[in-house]
Amino acid sequence: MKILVAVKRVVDYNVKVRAKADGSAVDLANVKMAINPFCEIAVEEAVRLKEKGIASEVVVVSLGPQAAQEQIRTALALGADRGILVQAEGDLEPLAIAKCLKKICDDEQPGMVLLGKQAIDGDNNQTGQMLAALTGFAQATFASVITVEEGSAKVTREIDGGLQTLSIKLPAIVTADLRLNEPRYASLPNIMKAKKKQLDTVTPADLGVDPAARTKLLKVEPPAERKAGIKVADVAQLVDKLKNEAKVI
Amino acid sequence: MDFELTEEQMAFRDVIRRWVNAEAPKDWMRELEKDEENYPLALWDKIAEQGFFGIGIPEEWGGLGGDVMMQMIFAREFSRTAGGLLWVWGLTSFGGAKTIGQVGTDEQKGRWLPAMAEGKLRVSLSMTEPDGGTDVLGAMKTVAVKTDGGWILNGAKMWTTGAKVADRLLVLARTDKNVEKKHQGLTMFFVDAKTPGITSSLLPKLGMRAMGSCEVHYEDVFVPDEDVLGEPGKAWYSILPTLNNERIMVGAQCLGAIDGVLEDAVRYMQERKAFGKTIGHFQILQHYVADIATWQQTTELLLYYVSWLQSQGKECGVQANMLKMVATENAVAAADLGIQILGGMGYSAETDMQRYWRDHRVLRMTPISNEMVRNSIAESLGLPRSF
Ligand SMILES: Cc1cc2nc3c(=O)[nH]c(=O)nc-3n(C[C@H](O)[C@H](O)[C@H](O)COP(=O)(O)OP(=O)(O)OC[C@H]3O[C@@H](n4cnc5c(N)ncnc54)[C@H](O)[C@@H]3O)c2cc1C
Ligand SMILES: Cc1cc2nc3c(=O)[nH]c(=O)nc-3n(C[C@H](O)[C@H](O)[C@H](O)COP(=O)(O)OP(=O)(O)OC[C@H]3O[C@@H](n4cnc5c(N)ncnc54)[C@H](O)[C@@H]3O)c2cc1C
Repeated sequence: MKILVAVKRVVDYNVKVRAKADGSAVDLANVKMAINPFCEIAVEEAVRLKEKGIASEVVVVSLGPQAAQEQIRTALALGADRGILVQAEGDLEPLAIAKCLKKICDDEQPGMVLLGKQAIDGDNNQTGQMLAALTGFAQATFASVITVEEGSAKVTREIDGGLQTLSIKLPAIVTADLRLNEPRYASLPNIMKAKKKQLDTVTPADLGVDPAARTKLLKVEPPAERKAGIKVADVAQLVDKLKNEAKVI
Repeated sequence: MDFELTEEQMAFRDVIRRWVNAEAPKDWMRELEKDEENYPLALWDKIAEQGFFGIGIPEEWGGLGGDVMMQMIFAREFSRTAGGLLWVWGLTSFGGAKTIGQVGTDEQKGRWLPAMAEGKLRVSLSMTEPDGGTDVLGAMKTVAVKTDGGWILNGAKMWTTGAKVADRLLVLARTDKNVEKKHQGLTMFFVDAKTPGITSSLLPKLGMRAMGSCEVHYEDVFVPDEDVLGEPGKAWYSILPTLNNERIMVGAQCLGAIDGVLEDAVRYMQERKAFGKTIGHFQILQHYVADIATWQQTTELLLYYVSWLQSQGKECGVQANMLKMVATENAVAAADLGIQILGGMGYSAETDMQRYWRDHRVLRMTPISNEMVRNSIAESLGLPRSF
């Protein structure tokens, strides 16, 4: 079974982002970029399935600028076999991404597509679901356990208030949650080998997709600064304030 | 001209940085360093878990491969939190493996390098003697005499770091007294630390306390022929090629420390308040961090340059000495200002500033003193040897 994994280039989660002075976007000048953490978990899961002999090939796809090659190489260093860059400038919306991935699914015929449940930049949480709709594949989002069986997979999902386990037919779309696994540290030899692995570049046009945006970004602003807290004298005062001022109990 | 690291070097740096933040954070390093009596074996195990002892050891000998650039990147990133505990890795992976790789026979490489790469063999370097480290050859009294099947070693060594937990000690000894020059007639032994006749006693010290530097006595210690490294009597010529690498490691350690100092100082300046504002508003403290950031950049440029020269096989003895001097002096100066910026907390055992200062102060004396470094830079300008 071939596994396709989608990975996104985002601002490194350690970076404290700043809005541009004119509020038009997040300031990306000289900001460290990295693979989206949920996508990294998806790559790790695919590589583990390959190590268990369940997957035969792991193909990573990233949609983004030329520099997104770096994130594909990161995935290749973790153990993926080859990469595809869909090169496109500017912000791509989930639907455009899902359409490109749909075309790649047509070409590659994967048994499973693994994605992060969401990317930490836009927090959209849409691409996997849209791709499931476009391909007609079964879907299981927010996965914390994946067990592949003959022609199907059992996926445990993290849902409000507990866990839900689904059995889905393959091919399927699965999106990774935080607890699915802990990604490994890429080893030095694998980092060196990643450079030699195959990486093809295509454009949305090659895939027959118009990436034009359907929404317009109006404004980006930092969250309001947290106001200073207060010290309460005792528990009674705390309870009183929670009840009567904050009205939360 | 290209000042960028390659894509692979950047990827490796990112992996190490992530590992350091998750597995070897400053708080833990600070706890480990304090403990004079206990070598940080738990840190050793963490490093071994990822195979990092194999960095710089060729893959055919069980290592991860990687050249001096990769070692430099690892040392810088790790030192940012570990400071002097970097040598938990460095003594074996860098000091020991480099020498074996340089002068060991294939049989010896097969016996030791895979074990070192796996983190199953710990090395200490036993060169300096009580009578002097700078004039190490003039002061050398340790001797080895040929016997049936091996050598009998006698003498005392000073400052052998990590000796109490070492599996092997790399010992330099005089094997021939009838020589014209003092760098002739020396032999290197890779001594099994469990051999009868070896005793060590701890030397408590200012910094990198947990590293356990010792005075080691060798009394009628038998070393079999197969544990002699290189040709007997020619040891000095095999040490020389490793010196540039050693300067690079020291430079990388110091740069990592400057990275650590700078991030802690800036964060404190953004949080600590005095006179109604964060202390980051005060110009004098801004100037302090501006200096630290400039020292960081200068050190980085020289470090990258020397590492590059060395990895290209170009001559770099003088530049490596300059790097050693600049890096060690910048690291201590940066930590000193760092302490100043943190005020009383900079002096507290609960922050890392004092540790950065203590751990790196020693590097102005070791492994070669900055006075000797200046002597040799001056000599390279055509001036007479001053000693
Ligand atoms: C914490 C620590 C760990 C160490 N770890 C190890 C280890 O693992 N293995 C090992 O073998 N050694 C180790 N050493 C020893 C270290 O290499 C020596 O301390 C160093 O070489 C300096 O030698 P010394 O201490 O004998 O000083 P000395 O040689 O006695 O020097 C004293 C002073 O005289 C100056 N001086 C000497 N000659 C000249 C000259 N010609 N011109 C100008 N100034 C001069 C020196 O610069 C210095 O300032 C360690 C030392 C320390 C402190
Ligand atoms: C070992 C030790 C023993 C001590 N013993 C005692 C004791 O026995 N009794 C006692 O009461 N206290 C004691 N102290 C506290 C000591 O007096 C304070 O540490 C000192 O006053 C500095 O205050 P701080 O540590 O809060 O630094 P901060 O006031 O937080 O200063 C941090 C930094 O900001 C700088 N800064 C602040 N304001 C300005 C400004 N306007 N312009 C420029 N720079 C500024 C400071 O110079 C410093 O570099 C001790 C401290 C230590 C470390």
